[in-house]
Amino acid sequence: MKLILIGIIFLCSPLLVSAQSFDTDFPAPYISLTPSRPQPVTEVAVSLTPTSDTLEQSPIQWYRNNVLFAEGVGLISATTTSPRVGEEVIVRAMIDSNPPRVASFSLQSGTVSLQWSASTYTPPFYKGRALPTRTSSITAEALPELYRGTKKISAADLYFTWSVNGSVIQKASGKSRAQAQFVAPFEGILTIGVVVATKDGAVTAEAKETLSPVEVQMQLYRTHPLFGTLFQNPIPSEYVTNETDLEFTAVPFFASTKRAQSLSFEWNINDAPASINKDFPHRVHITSAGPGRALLSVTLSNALRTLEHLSREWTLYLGEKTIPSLL
Amino acid sequence: MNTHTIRIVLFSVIILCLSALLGWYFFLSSKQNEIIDISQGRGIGVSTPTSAPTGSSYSNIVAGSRTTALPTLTTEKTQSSRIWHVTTSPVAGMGFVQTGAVPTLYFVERGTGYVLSAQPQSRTIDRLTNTLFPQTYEASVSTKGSVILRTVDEREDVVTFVGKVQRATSSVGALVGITLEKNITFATWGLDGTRVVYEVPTEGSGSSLYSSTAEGTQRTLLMSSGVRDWNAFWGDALYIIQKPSRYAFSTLFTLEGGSLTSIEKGRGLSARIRGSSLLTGTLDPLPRLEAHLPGTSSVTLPYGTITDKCTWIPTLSPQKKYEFTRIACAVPLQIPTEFPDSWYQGVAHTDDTWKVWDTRTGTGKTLEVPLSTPPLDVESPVADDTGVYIAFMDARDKSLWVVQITE
Repeated sequence: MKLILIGIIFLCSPLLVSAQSFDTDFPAPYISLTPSRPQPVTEVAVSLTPTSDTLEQSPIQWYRNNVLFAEGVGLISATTTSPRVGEEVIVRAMIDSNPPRVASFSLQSGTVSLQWSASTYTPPFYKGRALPTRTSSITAEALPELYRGTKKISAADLYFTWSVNGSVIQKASGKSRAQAQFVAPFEGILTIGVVVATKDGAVTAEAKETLSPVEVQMQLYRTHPLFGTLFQNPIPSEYVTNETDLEFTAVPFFASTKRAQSLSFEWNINDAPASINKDFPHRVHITSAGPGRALLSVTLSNALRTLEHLSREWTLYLGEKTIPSLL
Repeated sequence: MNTHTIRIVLFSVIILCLSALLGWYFFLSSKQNEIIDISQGRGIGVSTPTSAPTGSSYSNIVAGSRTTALPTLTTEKTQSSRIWHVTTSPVAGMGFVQTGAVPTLYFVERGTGYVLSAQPQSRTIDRLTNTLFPQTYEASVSTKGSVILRTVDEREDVVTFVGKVQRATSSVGALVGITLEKNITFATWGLDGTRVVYEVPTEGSGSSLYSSTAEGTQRTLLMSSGVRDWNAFWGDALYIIQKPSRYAFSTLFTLEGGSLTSIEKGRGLSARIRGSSLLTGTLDPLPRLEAHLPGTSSVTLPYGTITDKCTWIPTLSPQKKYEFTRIACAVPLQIPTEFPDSWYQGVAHTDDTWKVWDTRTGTGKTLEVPLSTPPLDVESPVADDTGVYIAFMDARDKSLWVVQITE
């Protein structure tokens, strides 16, 4: 008789959306997940909660889409794999107690990808990512892939909860708020988090990304009259060339600007200020009447970000084939 | 003054004149050498280009090619025949073009934007266009022979030109096309070589990804994003991923009908796709490559390199379909610090060895090149459809090389 009852409950269980209660003395168990928002195709622990003496003494069978995957007396926890994105797995626990009970859970793997861009400078055609520097602006975008059944839920219908270093940012959060703005910290790291959920909270996913701001880096490249700026070869601190008429371009990697021209560059050649074209302050032209050594220095500053202040210098041996001997 | 004195004076004057002439000769010779040195330094061996049909640029590329120094590819396959330094002049980009059974490489000169073709089999070079695009920084060649040329204008705005070579048989022709909007951050060809995919920055930090025909018509908005720095690759679908950095965690997506599906996530993630064969690279912290082929488990390749230095090699199946089961990768002997960010900035260069991995057999081999070959820092490798050649740039000087894969 007990087996027939379990069978009936089992067959009817797809109609159940959560744990069922039959007896007030024996609290209705439901299934909880660890982690609570599993990534697709990852190991996930399914557990019956709350536990009780009755539960711990009852034979329990665990089913994944009606296929038995674990069983045992008092087996209140089992391990399975979360489905792929867009797929659904029904996990059921059949508790052979008196009366028998069933707890059911619809496991739907959602995922959210956290993308970001730093509003910092990289030269044209740079193949790497613009990285955040101290106090630079960062835009983050959450790209969710959550499904109800087989239908993908539009980001416009989802609720986004943004956090920074674990603290929720209320003003950035809300329905269809898939993007948020942040400022890189002066010191330490920035952990951006986002939890995406349906209104009822039945389908959720989360993502977080830790960013470590880097320092502004300045490289000097030769701007060749025929080939343009030779981005493949930055000028080393000691540079020898048999030429005496050269143009150089300073590239302020990851400075908080979109155009290098909007920054301030103070050039010096042999400790004397060098004249520059105000429209292109990041470039300098050097001409030497004959072979000689030139000490080229540049100081970068950003009027909008006082922290972005950087100096570098190079020793140039013009009209030479090798570094001249000091002897 | 007697005759003897006059003779002595005349003789002295003659000696002085000869000495002065000799001195002047040596002075001029030394100055001439200096001028040659300076000229070489300025032009890196290349004279100022002209738009004449037989311009000096083409002549210099032919002269810069090491064709004559190496044996032609005949029945005797020596080590030295495997690698060809196509041109010592910097190039902006290249790609193999389907022009029949013989693989033809189109490449674009950095200084002039001229399009040239190279035949790896015969090791000959032919200039195709005389339309000047000075300082072409980046070029992409489609399998149909169309090109995307990218440069900067006088305001340092990025200019992107899409064009086709219009050329009568065996004569130099024009490059005809259109200029897309300014400051496009990324542009590439679709695999069929008829459509362009490009990213346009929008207000704030956002971007829009578009696709259009080579003529700039039928522009379609593929995606609007709140962030930028996207790269796109055509395979069996359109794949997109943000630009890599060792400091950034990225996601690879397929983009279909405006909907994104995540495929892979990882730190420093980058990808190379041909057909349905996917190569992903991550940095954790050392470079790690994984090959993903449909219906098989992912395979970790034993090569410590990045996808920028790898290319899928096509193989024609008995059913006359292209399969991508072999990967060629240039593997650095040593990984520089801050790689690949330092490599993207040109701060670090690598000395690479060519390796080929066969995912069907799970075996790899090294492509031996002559010891006389200088250290090569491989950039933007691309394999031809016959699976015989790989063209690549040396990141140190942007010169163009072709290596033969098969023995």
